Amino acid sequence: MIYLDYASTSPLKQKVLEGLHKCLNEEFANPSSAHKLGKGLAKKLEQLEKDFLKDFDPEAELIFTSGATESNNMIIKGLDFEDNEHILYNRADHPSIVNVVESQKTPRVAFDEKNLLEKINGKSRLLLLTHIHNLSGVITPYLDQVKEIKKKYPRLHVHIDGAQAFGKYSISDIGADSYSFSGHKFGGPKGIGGLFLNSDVDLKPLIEGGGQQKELRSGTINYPFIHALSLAYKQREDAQKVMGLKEMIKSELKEYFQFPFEHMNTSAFILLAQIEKVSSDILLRFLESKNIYISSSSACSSKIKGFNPTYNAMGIEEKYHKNILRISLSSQTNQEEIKQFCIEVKEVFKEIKHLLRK
Amino acid sequence: MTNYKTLVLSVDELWLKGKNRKYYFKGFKNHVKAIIKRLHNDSTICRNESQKLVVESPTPFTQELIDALIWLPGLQSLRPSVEVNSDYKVIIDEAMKLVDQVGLEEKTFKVLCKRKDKSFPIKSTEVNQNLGNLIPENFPHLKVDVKNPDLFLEIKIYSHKTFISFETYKGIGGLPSGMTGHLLTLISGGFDSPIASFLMAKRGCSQDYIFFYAYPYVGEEVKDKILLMMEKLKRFHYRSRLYVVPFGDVQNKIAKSCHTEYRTLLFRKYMLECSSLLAKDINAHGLITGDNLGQVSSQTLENITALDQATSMSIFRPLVGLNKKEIIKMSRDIDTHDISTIPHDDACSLFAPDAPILRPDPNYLEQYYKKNDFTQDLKQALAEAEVYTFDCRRNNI
Repeated sequence: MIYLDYASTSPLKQKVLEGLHKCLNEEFANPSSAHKLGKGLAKKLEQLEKDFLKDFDPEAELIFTSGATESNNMIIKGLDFEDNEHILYNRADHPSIVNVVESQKTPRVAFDEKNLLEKINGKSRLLLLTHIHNLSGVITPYLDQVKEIKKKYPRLHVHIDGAQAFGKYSISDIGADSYSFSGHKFGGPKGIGGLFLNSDVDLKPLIEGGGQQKELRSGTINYPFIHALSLAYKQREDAQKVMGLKEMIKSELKEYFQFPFEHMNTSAFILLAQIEKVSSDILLRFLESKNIYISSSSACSSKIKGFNPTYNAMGIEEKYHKNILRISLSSQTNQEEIKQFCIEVKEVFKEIKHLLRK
Repeated sequence: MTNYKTLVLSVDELWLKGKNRKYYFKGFKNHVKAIIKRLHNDSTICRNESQKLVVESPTPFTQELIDALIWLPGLQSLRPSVEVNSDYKVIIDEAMKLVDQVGLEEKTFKVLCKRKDKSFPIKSTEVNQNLGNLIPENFPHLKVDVKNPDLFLEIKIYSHKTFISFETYKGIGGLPSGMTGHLLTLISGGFDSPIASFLMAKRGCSQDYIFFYAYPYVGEEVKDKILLMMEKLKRFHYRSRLYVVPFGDVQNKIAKSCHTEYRTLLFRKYMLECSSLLAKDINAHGLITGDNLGQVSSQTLENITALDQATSMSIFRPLVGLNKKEIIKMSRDIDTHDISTIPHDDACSLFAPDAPILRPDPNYLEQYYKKNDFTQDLKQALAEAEVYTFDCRRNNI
């Protein structure tokens, strides 16, 4: 099997699997319990938190959640808005931002890759940025401007969705108020992730109950998964190595694909490709029959033109909406796999080339 | 739910059948009994009463059973009835309860009381008159019309028991399943082929189905759609099978080797050839297609003729004289409409030439057939087909 869909989810790294297994077996106690077992785990947990926070901001807090979707929800729904204050968001972003913002009563203002600074004003309360875009791999150009923006608009909360960046790229010294991530995007388990949060932020909790995790998120603390998360995080992804693989695909397949976002600053781990004339679903199925897995435009293909609002917001022309592929890599990907992948793609094109000229 | 313990099923067209009548009636009865056995948990008695089949059980029949029976080919109508003690007050009460259930639409009705037991103290005409007055008084939207009523309130009084019925479920009519023979239907995800299948089912043809699955050019969702469609089509049959034939490779081979504008025609030709091979195997007498005339540009008389000439089996095209609107109306009537409209990728549209051939050149076709023999590929595809069986005696595949 050649798996090139790491941006959707990744398999557990071997060490994570082993560590998780052991931890589930031995460190099952509730860190909130008053006995020795619980207290011991509470201490370990504190250390794990510190290790994570070191990379973001040692003064901040870390709330463990079920993943970036929950963390994004916490911020969008939990922040207090005064009359006429609005949310700034990008329609091209992940549904856990766009759909949540659009379902709120809070006023919203959309921005894109170019016009953010024109849209911010004194009434802007929350700015939602995406560190690395989940489809195009574009690294947000606003990352370097966060501190400046914060200085000018101190009441503006800057939140970053880091689902595709955490564990792969540095998150220190960005200056954001909060940052969300998911474990399963970098070899950790599914269902665990977190929210970094500056300690002066006042947030209404999404999940209430026993008040575990600083009254911000209730529910028994999932120590084994948090432990596994930290194991995955310690085995950092190697962006430089992966960039080499990505460049290899780009040069090998340039006759077959266009790479509409590659003139921008993009992640090593995500490559968006556009095909002329052939629906990407067909290529996806040809490849799956060869045991190669990538992502295509849409999970559900549709006879109706296939208009995709996210692609539209990303600036992809509608005629290409059914012709988009996402190839996503990880440090676990090797050169052999990429070579084989390129060979198979060329094979498929040979097989269907007569369909391209009518 | 009403307490229906008796169902009266009228059979369509038996009067046409002279000597075959017994055979047809038996076929119909078998189908009914099979469905009852699956959906009814108590014993039943099934008896013939002139042109009708009467089914009785000690426990009430469910709506689910009634909903299944009304799709059986050959059923003209079904009337469920309640059974009460032959006590005048009880009869009137129950009759009013049944009437209360028909809804608020304005309708006309007629009361038809028959005293099988002449010792019953109240005469039929009196029952008729009483209810004829009582009903409009209580349900002003219902009016008496003795000549041409929308609804009949039937009351049959025996010495101990009385049967009351008011509702009529219309069946699809036609001839009992399998009475006229067995055919193989070429099914796709659209509007037409399910209706073609329905029309032939109504004429007593049992059927198996063949679906050409152009994976990887189309996705699994197309197959899922066909399976959903089969849930509707199986209602007409005692037993039928769906053959999902992998056809992507064959289609690609054809596309590679022919003039682009001939692709659509030649795909059809080899689908028909493949279907003929299967039909012979499963003893089907012919093929059913959803072909229409002129609905899409490739459906010319010339193309249809060319395909007939190149196929060894009879091809039945029951939709050939129908307009699209008529087909869509029928699809609503038989509940296939909402499945047909589920969007899906169509392999043919991917392969489709910008302008398909309208008047094929017989010489080119002859040469093409000579040069290209796909028999082995078709046999191979059939050998690799997935087969799903639908049996009215069983709940699931």
